[in-house]
Amino acid sequence: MTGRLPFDPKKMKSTTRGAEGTPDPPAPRSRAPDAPIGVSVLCARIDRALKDGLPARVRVIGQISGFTERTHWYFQLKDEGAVVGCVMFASAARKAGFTPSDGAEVVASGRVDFYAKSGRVSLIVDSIRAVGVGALEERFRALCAELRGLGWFDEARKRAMPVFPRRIAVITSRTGAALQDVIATARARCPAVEIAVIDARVQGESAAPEVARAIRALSDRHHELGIDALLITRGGGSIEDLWAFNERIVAEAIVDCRLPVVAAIGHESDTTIAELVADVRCSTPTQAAVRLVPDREALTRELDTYTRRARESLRSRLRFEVQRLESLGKTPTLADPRGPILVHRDRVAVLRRRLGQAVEGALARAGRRVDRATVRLERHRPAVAHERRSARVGALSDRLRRAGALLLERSASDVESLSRELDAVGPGQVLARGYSVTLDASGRPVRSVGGVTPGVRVTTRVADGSFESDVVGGGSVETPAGDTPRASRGPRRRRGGRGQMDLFDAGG
Amino acid sequence: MAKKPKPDPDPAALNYEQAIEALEEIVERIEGGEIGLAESMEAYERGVKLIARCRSVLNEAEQKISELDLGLNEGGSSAASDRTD
Repeated sequence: MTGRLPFDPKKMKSTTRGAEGTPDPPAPRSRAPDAPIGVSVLCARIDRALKDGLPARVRVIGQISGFTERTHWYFQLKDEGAVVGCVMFASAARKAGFTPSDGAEVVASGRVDFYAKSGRVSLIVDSIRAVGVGALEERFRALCAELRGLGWFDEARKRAMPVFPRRIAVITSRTGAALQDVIATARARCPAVEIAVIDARVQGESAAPEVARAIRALSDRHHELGIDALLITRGGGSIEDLWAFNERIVAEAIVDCRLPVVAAIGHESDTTIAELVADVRCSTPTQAAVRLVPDREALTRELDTYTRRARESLRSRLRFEVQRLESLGKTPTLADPRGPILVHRDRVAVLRRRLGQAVEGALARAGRRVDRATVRLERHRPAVAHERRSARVGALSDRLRRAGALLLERSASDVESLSRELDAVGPGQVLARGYSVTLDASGRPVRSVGGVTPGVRVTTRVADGSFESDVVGGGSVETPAGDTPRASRGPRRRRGGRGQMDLFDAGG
Repeated sequence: MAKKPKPDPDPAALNYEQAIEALEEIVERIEGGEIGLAESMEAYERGVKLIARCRSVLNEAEQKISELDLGLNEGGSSAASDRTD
Protein backbone atom coordinates (compact mmCIF):
# COMPACT_ATOMS: atom_id res chain seq x y z
CA MET A 1 0.00 0.00 0.00
CA THR A 2 2.65 2.43 0.90
CA GLY A 3 4.45 1.30 -2.23
CA ARG A 4 2.26 3.52 -4.20
CA LEU A 5 3.21 6.65 -2.47
CA PRO A 6 6.18 7.55 -4.65
CA PHE A 7 4.04 7.47 -7.70
CA ASP A 8 1.06 9.47 -6.77
CA PRO A 9 0.59 10.63 -3.29
CA LYS A 10 -2.70 12.21 -4.18
CA LYS A 11 -3.95 9.09 -5.65
CA MET A 12 -2.75 7.32 -2.75
CA LYS A 13 -5.00 9.47 -0.69
CA SER A 14 -7.77 8.72 -3.07
CA THR A 15 -7.17 5.05 -2.65
CA THR A 16 -7.67 5.22 1.08
CA ARG A 17 -10.69 3.52 2.42
CA GLY A 18 -12.27 6.79 3.20
CA ALA A 19 -11.73 7.93 -0.38
CA GLU A 20 -13.04 4.77 -1.91
CA GLY A 21 -16.15 6.39 -3.07
CA THR A 22 -14.33 9.15 -4.95
CA PRO A 23 -14.46 9.39 -8.73
CA ASP A 24 -11.87 7.60 -10.89
CA PRO A 25 -11.46 4.65 -8.65
CA PRO A 26 -10.68 2.18 -11.50
CA ALA A 27 -7.52 4.03 -12.48
CA PRO A 28 -5.03 2.13 -10.34
CA ARG A 29 -6.66 -1.23 -11.00
CA SER A 30 -6.44 -0.87 -14.68
CA ARG A 31 -2.78 -0.10 -14.33
CA ALA A 32 -1.92 -3.00 -11.94
CA PRO A 33 -0.84 -5.87 -14.26
CA ASP A 34 2.24 -4.21 -15.60
CA ALA A 35 2.87 -1.65 -12.93
CA PRO A 36 5.79 -2.53 -10.69
CA ILE A 37 4.97 -3.37 -7.12
CA GLY A 38 6.99 -2.71 -4.08
CA VAL A 39 9.17 -5.35 -2.31
CA SER A 40 6.96 -5.17 0.66
CA VAL A 41 3.97 -5.83 -1.51
CA LEU A 42 5.75 -8.73 -3.00
CA CYS A 43 6.78 -9.99 0.34
CA ALA A 44 3.30 -9.62 1.66
CA ARG A 45 2.03 -11.50 -1.32
CA ILE A 46 4.66 -14.23 -0.83
CA ASP A 47 3.72 -14.49 2.76
CA ARG A 48 0.07 -14.74 1.83
CA ALA A 49 0.81 -17.24 -0.90
CA LEU A 50 2.82 -19.42 1.50
CA LYS A 51 0.12 -19.33 4.07
CA ASP A 52 -2.56 -20.05 1.52
CA GLY A 53 -0.60 -22.72 -0.29
CA LEU A 54 0.71 -24.72 2.67
CA PRO A 55 -0.94 -26.37 5.60
CA ALA A 56 -0.57 -24.59 8.90
CA ARG A 57 1.79 -27.32 10.08
CA VAL A 58 4.17 -29.32 8.01
CA ARG A 59 6.36 -32.31 8.87
CA VAL A 60 9.63 -32.30 7.04
CA ILE A 61 12.17 -35.12 6.97
CA GLY A 62 15.72 -34.19 6.27
CA GLN A 63 19.25 -34.20 7.44
CA ILE A 64 20.47 -31.59 9.82
CA SER A 65 23.34 -29.38 8.86
CA GLY A 66 24.86 -26.17 10.14
CA PHE A 67 23.43 -26.74 13.55
CA THR A 68 24.12 -23.89 15.96
CA GLU A 69 22.75 -23.30 19.35
CA ARG A 70 22.43 -19.67 20.49
CA THR A 71 19.57 -19.62 22.91
CA HIS A 72 17.51 -20.94 20.02
CA TRP A 73 18.53 -23.64 17.64
CA TYR A 74 19.39 -22.64 14.11
CA PHE A 75 20.00 -25.26 11.47
CA GLN A 76 19.18 -26.33 7.98
CA LEU A 77 17.29 -29.34 6.92
CA LYS A 78 18.50 -30.68 3.67
CA ASP A 79 18.21 -33.55 1.34
CA GLU A 80 19.97 -34.32 -1.90
CA GLY A 81 18.64 -31.31 -3.70
CA ALA A 82 17.27 -28.74 -1.29
CA VAL A 83 17.90 -26.87 1.89
CA VAL A 84 15.51 -25.09 4.18
CA GLY A 85 16.47 -22.96 7.09
CA CYS A 86 15.02 -23.90 10.43
CA VAL A 87 14.61 -22.17 13.74
CA MET A 88 13.67 -23.94 16.89
CA PHE A 89 12.95 -21.57 19.69
CA ALA A 90 14.41 -22.38 23.07
CA SER A 91 11.05 -23.24 24.58
CA ALA A 92 10.55 -25.93 21.92
CA ALA A 93 14.18 -27.03 21.85
CA ARG A 94 14.05 -27.83 25.54
CA LYS A 95 11.33 -30.35 24.86
CA ALA A 96 13.23 -32.08 22.05
CA GLY A 97 14.76 -34.67 24.37
CA PHE A 98 17.98 -34.73 22.42
CA THR A 99 20.30 -32.37 20.73
CA PRO A 100 20.55 -33.11 17.03
CA SER A 101 23.89 -33.08 15.41
CA ASP A 102 24.85 -32.44 11.81
CA GLY A 103 24.02 -35.30 9.58
CA ALA A 104 21.28 -36.59 11.83
CA GLU A 105 18.12 -37.60 10.09
CA VAL A 106 15.17 -35.95 11.67
CA VAL A 107 11.55 -35.22 11.19
CA ALA A 108 10.87 -31.58 12.03
CA SER A 109 7.33 -30.32 12.57
CA GLY A 110 6.25 -26.70 12.51
CA ARG A 111 5.00 -23.92 10.32
CA VAL A 112 6.56 -22.24 7.35
CA ASP A 113 7.27 -18.60 7.90
CA PHE A 114 8.42 -15.92 5.53
CA TYR A 115 10.45 -13.35 7.33
CA ALA A 116 10.13 -10.18 5.27
CA LYS A 117 13.00 -8.32 6.88
CA SER A 118 15.52 -10.90 5.71
CA GLY A 119 13.45 -12.20 2.86
CA ARG A 120 13.89 -15.72 4.03
CA VAL A 121 11.57 -18.61 4.29
CA SER A 122 12.12 -20.57 7.48
CA LEU A 123 10.63 -23.57 9.12
CA ILE A 124 9.66 -22.64 12.65
CA VAL A 125 10.13 -26.03 14.27
CA ASP A 126 8.12 -26.80 17.34
CA SER A 127 9.03 -30.47 17.62
CA ILE A 128 11.74 -32.66 16.29
CA ARG A 129 12.49 -36.36 16.43
CA ALA A 130 15.25 -38.47 15.07
CA VAL A 131 14.73 -41.05 12.41
CA GLY A 132 17.01 -43.74 11.00
CA VAL A 133 20.32 -43.83 12.83
CA GLY A 134 19.21 -40.85 14.71
CA ALA A 135 16.15 -42.73 15.82
CA LEU A 136 18.34 -45.63 16.88
CA GLU A 137 20.54 -43.35 18.87
CA GLU A 138 17.51 -41.87 20.43
CA ARG A 139 16.15 -45.27 21.35
CA PHE A 140 19.54 -46.23 22.67
CA ARG A 141 19.57 -43.22 24.96
CA ALA A 142 16.04 -43.81 26.12
CA LEU A 143 16.72 -47.48 26.89
CA CYS A 144 19.96 -46.56 28.63
CA ALA A 145 18.10 -44.16 30.84
CA GLU A 146 15.44 -46.73 31.62
CA LEU A 147 17.85 -49.58 32.36
CA ARG A 148 20.09 -47.36 34.42
CA GLY A 149 17.01 -46.48 36.40
CA LEU A 150 16.34 -50.19 36.91
CA GLY A 151 19.86 -50.60 38.23
CA TRP A 152 20.88 -53.00 35.48
CA PHE A 153 24.16 -51.19 34.94
CA ASP A 154 25.08 -51.20 38.63
CA GLU A 155 28.47 -52.69 39.30
CA ALA A 156 27.14 -54.13 42.54
CA ARG A 157 24.78 -56.35 40.57
CA LYS A 158 27.52 -57.85 38.50
CA ARG A 159 28.83 -61.37 38.95
CA ALA A 160 32.46 -62.27 39.48
CA MET A 161 34.35 -64.02 36.75
CA PRO A 162 35.54 -67.56 37.38
CA VAL A 163 39.25 -67.84 38.01
CA PHE A 164 39.52 -70.90 35.84
CA PRO A 165 36.45 -71.64 33.75
CA ARG A 166 36.26 -75.22 32.58
CA ARG A 167 34.20 -74.36 29.54
CA ILE A 168 33.27 -71.04 28.03
CA ALA A 169 30.19 -70.71 25.88
CA VAL A 170 30.64 -68.24 23.05
CA ILE A 171 27.53 -66.85 21.46
CA THR A 172 28.55 -65.48 18.11
CA SER A 173 28.45 -66.14 14.42
CA ARG A 174 30.16 -69.37 13.53
CA THR A 175 31.68 -67.75 10.48
CA GLY A 176 32.75 -64.52 12.06
CA ALA A 177 36.29 -63.33 12.59
CA ALA A 178 35.37 -62.66 16.22
CA LEU A 179 35.14 -66.40 16.91
CA GLN A 180 38.52 -67.01 15.32
CA ASP A 181 40.04 -64.31 17.50
CA VAL A 182 38.51 -65.87 20.60
CA ILE A 183 39.69 -69.37 19.73
CA ALA A 184 43.21 -68.29 18.86
CA THR A 185 43.57 -66.23 22.00
CA ALA A 186 42.17 -68.98 24.21
CA ARG A 187 44.52 -71.54 22.69
CA ALA A 188 47.49 -69.30 23.24
CA ARG A 189 46.58 -68.63 26.84
CA CYS A 190 45.34 -71.98 28.05
CA PRO A 191 44.20 -74.81 25.80
CA ALA A 192 42.67 -76.58 28.79
CA VAL A 193 39.76 -74.19 28.76
CA GLU A 194 37.09 -75.57 26.49
CA ILE A 195 35.26 -73.42 24.04
CA ALA A 196 31.65 -74.20 23.21
CA VAL A 197 30.36 -72.23 20.27
CA ILE A 198 26.72 -71.33 19.99
CA ASP A 199 26.14 -70.17 16.49
CA ALA A 200 23.75 -67.26 16.34
CA ARG A 201 22.80 -64.50 14.03
CA VAL A 202 24.46 -61.35 15.23
CA GLN A 203 22.70 -58.88 13.02
CA GLY A 204 19.39 -58.45 11.36
CA GLU A 205 15.86 -58.61 12.62
CA SER A 206 16.11 -62.07 14.13
CA ALA A 207 19.46 -61.55 15.80
CA ALA A 208 18.21 -60.08 19.07
CA PRO A 209 15.64 -62.80 19.85
CA GLU A 210 18.07 -65.50 18.77
CA VAL A 211 20.85 -64.23 20.97
CA ALA A 212 18.43 -63.79 23.86
CA ARG A 213 17.16 -67.36 23.50
CA ALA A 214 20.69 -68.70 23.41
CA ILE A 215 21.57 -66.80 26.58
CA ARG A 216 18.50 -68.13 28.38
CA ALA A 217 19.08 -71.68 27.21
CA LEU A 218 22.69 -71.59 28.42
CA SER A 219 21.66 -70.09 31.71
CA ASP A 220 19.19 -72.92 32.22
CA ARG A 221 21.55 -75.67 31.18
CA HIS A 222 24.97 -74.47 32.24
CA HIS A 223 25.29 -77.13 34.94
CA GLU A 224 24.46 -79.91 32.57
CA LEU A 225 26.75 -78.46 29.93
CA GLY A 226 29.57 -77.73 32.36
CA ILE A 227 29.76 -74.10 31.35
CA ASP A 228 31.28 -71.58 33.74
CA ALA A 229 31.09 -68.38 31.75
CA LEU A 230 29.42 -66.88 28.74
CA LEU A 231 30.92 -64.68 26.09
CA ILE A 232 28.70 -62.74 23.70
CA THR A 233 30.66 -61.23 20.89
CA ARG A 234 30.71 -59.97 17.37
CA GLY A 235 33.02 -57.82 15.28
CA GLY A 236 32.64 -54.20 14.35
CA GLY A 237 29.91 -52.73 12.19
CA SER A 238 27.53 -49.84 11.80
CA ILE A 239 25.13 -48.92 14.50
CA GLU A 240 22.42 -50.71 12.56
CA ASP A 241 24.62 -53.81 12.33
CA LEU A 242 25.16 -53.84 16.06
CA TRP A 243 21.62 -52.94 16.86
CA ALA A 244 20.55 -56.37 18.08
CA PHE A 245 22.78 -55.86 21.10
CA ASN A 246 20.90 -52.71 22.00
CA GLU A 247 17.59 -54.49 22.22
CA ARG A 248 15.88 -54.81 25.53
CA ILE A 249 15.27 -58.54 25.02
CA VAL A 250 19.01 -59.21 24.93
CA ALA A 251 19.70 -56.98 27.92
CA GLU A 252 17.02 -58.76 29.90
CA ALA A 253 18.41 -62.19 29.06
CA ILE A 254 21.88 -61.09 30.18
CA VAL A 255 20.60 -59.68 33.45
CA ASP A 256 18.63 -62.87 34.14
CA CYS A 257 21.55 -65.13 33.21
CA ARG A 258 22.93 -67.21 36.04
CA LEU A 259 26.33 -67.40 34.37
CA PRO A 260 28.82 -64.58 34.43
CA VAL A 261 28.59 -62.80 31.09
CA VAL A 262 31.30 -61.04 29.14
CA ALA A 263 30.24 -58.94 26.16
CA ALA A 264 32.45 -57.61 23.42
CA ILE A 265 30.42 -56.06 20.63
CA GLY A 266 31.88 -54.13 17.75
CA HIS A 267 34.89 -51.90 18.00
CA GLU A 268 36.25 -50.18 21.03
CA SER A 269 34.33 -47.00 20.25
CA ASP A 270 30.99 -48.77 20.11
CA THR A 271 28.99 -49.18 23.22
CA THR A 272 25.94 -51.38 23.30
CA ILE A 273 23.35 -52.01 25.95
CA ALA A 274 24.44 -55.65 26.07
CA GLU A 275 27.90 -54.53 27.08
CA LEU A 276 26.54 -52.15 29.68
CA VAL A 277 24.51 -54.86 31.40
CA ALA A 278 27.14 -57.61 31.01
CA ASP A 279 29.26 -58.41 34.02
CA VAL A 280 32.39 -57.51 32.11
CA ARG A 281 32.62 -55.39 29.01
CA CYS A 282 35.51 -55.88 26.67
CA SER A 283 36.32 -53.76 23.68
CA THR A 284 37.19 -56.63 21.33
CA PRO A 285 36.69 -60.40 21.08
CA THR A 286 40.40 -60.90 21.70
CA GLN A 287 40.30 -58.84 24.83
CA ALA A 288 37.27 -60.82 26.00
CA ALA A 289 39.15 -64.08 25.53
CA VAL A 290 42.06 -62.66 27.49
CA ARG A 291 39.70 -61.67 30.24
CA LEU A 292 38.06 -65.09 30.42
CA VAL A 293 40.82 -67.56 29.71
CA PRO A 294 43.50 -67.68 32.37
CA ASP A 295 47.09 -67.37 31.31
CA ARG A 296 48.73 -70.74 31.62
CA GLU A 297 52.14 -69.17 32.15
CA ALA A 298 50.88 -67.09 35.03
CA LEU A 299 49.08 -70.05 36.57
CA THR A 300 52.15 -72.23 36.19
CA ARG A 301 54.15 -69.57 37.99
CA GLU A 302 51.52 -69.44 40.69
CA LEU A 303 51.66 -73.23 41.05
CA ASP A 304 55.45 -73.07 41.21
CA THR A 305 55.11 -70.56 44.01
CA TYR A 306 52.74 -72.81 45.91
CA THR A 307 55.01 -75.78 45.34
CA ARG A 308 57.97 -73.81 46.63
CA ARG A 309 56.06 -72.45 49.59
CA ALA A 310 54.76 -75.88 50.58
CA ARG A 311 58.19 -77.44 50.20
CA GLU A 312 59.98 -74.61 51.98
CA SER A 313 57.56 -74.47 54.85
CA LEU A 314 57.66 -78.20 55.35
CA ARG A 315 61.43 -78.17 55.07
CA SER A 316 61.77 -75.39 57.60
CA ARG A 317 59.35 -77.22 59.82
CA LEU A 318 61.50 -80.32 59.60
CA ARG A 319 64.63 -78.24 60.24
CA PHE A 320 62.97 -76.77 63.25
CA GLU A 321 62.02 -80.19 64.56
CA VAL A 322 65.53 -81.51 63.94
CA GLN A 323 67.01 -78.55 65.77
CA ARG A 324 64.63 -79.08 68.59
CA LEU A 325 65.67 -82.71 68.70
CA GLU A 326 69.34 -81.74 68.60
CA SER A 327 69.01 -79.18 71.32
CA LEU A 328 67.24 -81.78 73.37
CA GLY A 329 70.12 -84.11 72.57
CA LYS A 330 72.55 -81.53 73.93
CA THR A 331 70.89 -81.41 77.28
CA PRO A 332 73.01 -83.30 79.88
CA THR A 333 70.29 -85.85 80.14
CA LEU A 334 70.60 -87.00 76.57
CA ALA A 335 74.18 -85.97 75.82
CA ASP A 336 75.74 -88.46 78.28
CA PRO A 337 73.89 -91.71 78.41
CA ARG A 338 75.15 -92.29 81.88
CA GLY A 339 74.05 -88.86 82.85
CA PRO A 340 70.46 -89.75 83.09
CA ILE A 341 71.33 -92.94 84.87
CA LEU A 342 73.37 -91.03 87.42
CA VAL A 343 70.79 -88.40 87.67
CA HIS A 344 68.22 -91.04 88.01
CA ARG A 345 70.31 -92.89 90.49
CA ASP A 346 70.59 -89.73 92.53
CA ARG A 347 67.02 -89.10 92.12
CA VAL A 348 66.28 -92.67 92.97
CA ALA A 349 68.43 -92.40 96.05
CA VAL A 350 66.75 -89.22 97.09
CA LEU A 351 63.44 -90.68 96.31
CA ARG A 352 64.30 -93.84 98.08
CA ARG A 353 65.27 -91.85 101.13
CA ARG A 354 62.18 -89.83 100.90
CA LEU A 355 60.22 -92.90 100.19
CA GLY A 356 61.84 -94.64 103.15
CA GLN A 357 60.93 -91.74 105.35
CA ALA A 358 57.56 -91.60 103.96
CA VAL A 359 57.16 -95.32 104.24
CA GLU A 360 58.47 -95.28 107.73
CA GLY A 361 56.17 -92.56 108.68
CA ALA A 362 53.38 -94.26 106.95
CA LEU A 363 54.39 -97.56 108.44
CA ALA A 364 54.58 -96.05 111.83
CA ARG A 365 51.23 -94.51 111.39
CA ALA A 366 49.93 -97.64 109.85
CA GLY A 367 51.67 -99.70 112.49
CA ARG A 368 50.01 -97.71 115.16
CA ARG A 369 46.77 -98.14 113.45
CA VAL A 370 47.52 -101.80 112.84
CA ASP A 371 48.49 -102.16 116.43
CA ARG A 372 45.31 -100.58 117.51
CA ALA A 373 43.41 -102.60 115.04
CA THR A 374 45.38 -105.72 115.89
CA VAL A 375 44.81 -105.22 119.49
CA ARG A 376 41.18 -104.84 118.82
CA LEU A 377 41.22 -107.62 116.30
CA GLU A 378 43.29 -110.00 118.31
CA ARG A 379 40.82 -109.94 121.03
CA HIS A 380 38.63 -111.76 118.67
CA ARG A 381 41.21 -114.34 117.53
CA PRO A 382 41.41 -117.46 119.71
CA ALA A 383 45.04 -118.22 118.94
CA VAL A 384 45.98 -114.69 119.63
CA ALA A 385 43.68 -114.60 122.53
CA HIS A 386 45.67 -117.45 123.90
CA GLU A 387 48.90 -115.62 123.19
CA ARG A 388 47.44 -112.55 124.67
CA ARG A 389 46.45 -114.50 127.68
CA SER A 390 49.87 -116.02 127.97
CA ALA A 391 51.33 -112.61 127.45
CA ARG A 392 49.08 -111.37 130.05
CA VAL A 393 50.16 -114.21 132.21
CA GLY A 394 53.73 -113.27 131.44
CA ALA A 395 52.99 -109.67 132.17
CA LEU A 396 51.22 -110.63 135.24
CA SER A 397 54.04 -112.85 136.28
CA ASP A 398 56.37 -109.98 135.62
CA ARG A 399 54.21 -107.76 137.64
CA LEU A 400 54.00 -110.42 140.20
CA ARG A 401 57.71 -110.76 140.16
CA ARG A 402 58.14 -107.08 140.47
CA ALA A 403 55.52 -107.03 143.07
CA GLY A 404 57.32 -109.91 144.73
CA ALA A 405 60.60 -108.08 144.63
CA LEU A 406 58.91 -105.07 146.00
CA LEU A 407 57.25 -107.15 148.54
CA LEU A 408 60.50 -108.71 149.48
CA GLU A 409 62.05 -105.36 149.88
CA ARG A 410 59.13 -104.21 151.73
CA SER A 411 59.02 -107.40 153.83
CA ALA A 412 62.63 -106.99 154.76
CA SER A 413 61.86 -103.78 156.44
CA ASP A 414 58.66 -105.24 157.71
CA VAL A 415 60.66 -108.07 159.21
CA GLU A 416 62.92 -105.63 160.87
CA SER A 417 60.10 -103.65 162.35
CA LEU A 418 58.33 -106.82 163.15
CA SER A 419 61.37 -108.26 164.73
CA ARG A 420 61.77 -105.13 166.67
CA GLU A 421 58.22 -105.41 167.66
CA LEU A 422 58.63 -109.01 168.42
CA ASP A 423 61.85 -108.33 170.18
CA ALA A 424 59.92 -106.24 172.55
CA VAL A 425 57.84 -109.17 173.47
CA GLY A 426 60.07 -111.96 172.13
CA PRO A 427 62.91 -114.07 173.35
CA GLY A 428 65.23 -111.11 173.52
CA GLN A 429 63.21 -109.62 176.24
CA VAL A 430 62.79 -113.04 177.74
CA LEU A 431 66.51 -113.44 177.68
CA ALA A 432 66.90 -109.98 179.02
CA ARG A 433 64.81 -111.02 181.88
CA GLY A 434 67.42 -113.71 182.62
CA TYR A 435 66.35 -116.64 180.64
CA SER A 436 68.72 -118.33 178.27
CA VAL A 437 68.47 -120.69 175.36
CA THR A 438 70.81 -123.52 174.83
CA LEU A 439 71.46 -124.65 171.34
CA ASP A 440 73.01 -127.92 170.32
CA ALA A 441 75.82 -128.23 167.83
CA SER A 442 73.39 -127.91 164.98
CA GLY A 443 71.87 -124.85 166.46
CA ARG A 444 68.69 -126.44 167.66
CA PRO A 445 67.42 -125.43 171.00
CA VAL A 446 67.90 -128.07 173.50
CA ARG A 447 64.51 -128.76 174.86
CA SER A 448 65.20 -131.67 177.10
CA VAL A 449 68.00 -133.27 178.84
CA GLY A 450 67.73 -136.06 176.48
CA GLY A 451 68.81 -133.65 173.81
CA VAL A 452 72.35 -133.57 175.04
CA THR A 453 74.84 -136.04 176.12
CA PRO A 454 77.90 -135.40 178.20
CA GLY A 455 80.79 -134.14 176.31
CA VAL A 456 78.69 -132.28 173.84
CA ARG A 457 79.39 -128.67 173.38
CA VAL A 458 76.41 -126.45 173.51
CA THR A 459 75.90 -122.81 173.03
CA THR A 460 73.93 -120.79 175.39
CA ARG A 461 72.43 -117.62 174.43
CA VAL A 462 71.76 -114.97 176.88
CA ALA A 463 70.44 -111.49 176.52
CA ASP A 464 73.67 -109.85 175.55
CA GLY A 465 75.42 -112.71 173.81
CA SER A 466 76.23 -116.36 174.02
CA PHE A 467 78.78 -118.64 175.46
CA GLU A 468 79.75 -122.15 174.86
CA SER A 469 79.90 -124.83 177.39
CA ASP A 470 80.53 -128.61 177.47
CA VAL A 471 77.92 -130.84 178.85
CA VAL A 472 79.37 -132.70 181.72
CA GLY A 473 76.31 -134.44 183.01
CA GLY A 474 72.63 -134.08 183.39
CA GLY A 475 69.47 -135.62 184.65
CA SER A 476 65.84 -134.83 185.04
CA VAL A 477 65.06 -131.76 186.97
CA GLU A 478 62.51 -132.14 189.72
CA THR A 479 61.96 -128.59 190.08
CA PRO A 480 58.77 -127.21 188.76
CA ALA A 481 58.54 -125.94 185.34
CA GLY A 482 59.26 -122.42 186.49
CA ASP A 483 62.95 -123.23 186.56
CA THR A 484 63.20 -123.82 182.86
CA PRO A 485 62.19 -121.67 180.08
CA ARG A 486 60.22 -124.57 178.73
CA ALA A 487 58.22 -124.68 181.85
CA SER A 488 57.16 -121.10 181.54
CA ARG A 489 53.67 -119.93 182.18
CA GLY A 490 50.43 -121.02 180.63
CA PRO A 491 49.49 -122.26 177.28
CA ARG A 492 49.58 -118.80 175.73
CA ARG A 493 53.15 -118.48 176.60
CA ARG A 494 53.93 -121.77 175.22
CA ARG A 495 52.25 -120.91 172.07
CA GLY A 496 54.02 -117.68 171.96
CA GLY A 497 57.29 -119.33 172.70
CA ARG A 498 56.73 -121.72 169.87
CA GLY A 499 56.08 -118.80 167.60
CA GLN A 500 59.28 -117.24 168.67
CA MET A 501 61.10 -120.27 167.72
CA ASP A 502 59.56 -120.36 164.33
CA LEU A 503 60.46 -116.82 163.80
CA PHE A 504 63.97 -117.43 164.79
CA ASP A 505 64.03 -120.25 162.36
CA ALA A 506 62.74 -118.19 159.66
CA GLY A 507 65.08 -115.36 160.42
CA GLY A 508 68.10 -117.62 160.79
CA MET B 1 30.71 -87.43 62.56
CA ALA B 2 33.23 -84.92 63.77
CA LYS B 3 35.37 -85.57 60.71
CA LYS B 4 32.54 -85.16 58.26
CA PRO B 5 32.72 -81.40 57.84
CA LYS B 6 36.28 -81.68 56.55
CA PRO B 7 36.27 -84.30 53.88
CA ASP B 8 39.29 -84.22 51.62
CA PRO B 9 37.95 -85.08 48.21
CA ASP B 10 40.10 -86.80 45.66
CA PRO B 11 42.19 -84.09 43.94
CA ALA B 12 41.40 -85.67 40.59
CA ALA B 13 37.73 -84.95 41.20
CA LEU B 14 38.35 -81.25 41.74
CA ASN B 15 38.31 -78.65 39.05
CA TYR B 16 41.24 -76.30 38.79
CA GLU B 17 39.67 -73.58 40.87
CA GLN B 18 38.74 -75.93 43.72
CA ALA B 19 42.14 -77.62 43.59
CA ILE B 20 44.04 -74.33 43.73
CA GLU B 21 41.88 -73.15 46.62
CA ALA B 22 42.52 -76.37 48.54
CA LEU B 23 46.21 -76.02 47.76
CA GLU B 24 46.33 -72.47 49.02
CA GLU B 25 44.68 -73.51 52.26
CA ILE B 26 47.10 -76.39 52.72
CA VAL B 27 50.15 -74.24 52.11
CA GLU B 28 48.88 -71.69 54.60
CA ARG B 29 48.28 -74.40 57.15
CA ILE B 30 51.77 -75.77 56.78
CA GLU B 31 53.22 -72.26 56.92
CA GLY B 32 51.13 -71.40 59.92
CA GLY B 33 52.90 -74.12 61.89
CA GLU B 34 49.87 -74.65 64.05
CA ILE B 35 49.49 -78.24 63.05
CA GLY B 36 51.69 -81.10 64.16
CA LEU B 37 54.62 -82.37 62.16
CA ALA B 38 52.84 -85.54 61.11
CA GLU B 39 49.81 -83.54 60.05
CA SER B 40 52.07 -81.12 58.18
CA MET B 41 53.56 -83.98 56.26
CA GLU B 42 50.15 -85.37 55.45
CA ALA B 43 49.06 -81.94 54.29
CA TYR B 44 52.17 -81.67 52.18
CA GLU B 45 51.45 -84.98 50.55
CA ARG B 46 47.98 -83.83 49.72
CA GLY B 47 49.38 -80.54 48.46
CA VAL B 48 51.68 -82.40 46.11
CA LYS B 49 48.68 -84.28 44.73
CA LEU B 50 46.76 -81.06 44.27
CA ILE B 51 49.70 -79.47 42.51
CA ALA B 52 49.93 -82.48 40.22
CA ARG B 53 46.22 -82.16 39.54
CA CYS B 54 46.56 -78.46 38.67
CA ARG B 55 49.58 -79.07 36.50
CA SER B 56 47.85 -81.80 34.58
CA VAL B 57 45.01 -79.38 33.84
CA LEU B 58 47.40 -76.65 32.77
CA ASN B 59 49.46 -78.96 30.66
CA GLU B 60 46.46 -79.98 28.62
CA ALA B 61 47.81 -79.23 25.17
CA GLU B 62 44.79 -79.95 23.08
CA GLN B 63 42.23 -77.24 22.80
CA LYS B 64 38.69 -78.57 22.85
CA ILE B 65 36.27 -76.66 20.73
CA SER B 66 32.74 -77.86 20.27
CA GLU B 67 29.66 -76.41 18.79
CA LEU B 68 26.58 -76.55 20.93
CA ASP B 69 23.28 -76.91 19.23
CA LEU B 70 20.81 -75.73 21.78
CA GLY B 71 17.95 -76.49 19.42
CA LEU B 72 16.81 -72.90 19.46
CA ASN B 73 16.43 -72.21 15.79
CA GLU B 74 12.95 -72.86 14.63
CA GLY B 75 12.92 -74.78 11.39
CA GLY B 76 16.49 -75.85 11.96
CA SER B 77 17.80 -73.20 9.59
CA SER B 78 21.26 -73.56 10.97
CA ALA B 79 22.85 -72.58 7.71
CA ALA B 80 21.26 -69.17 7.61
CA SER B 81 23.16 -67.00 5.23
CA ASP B 82 22.86 -63.67 6.97
CA ARG B 83 25.51 -64.51 9.49
CA THR B 84 28.12 -61.91 9.08
CA ASP B 85 30.51 -60.31 11.30
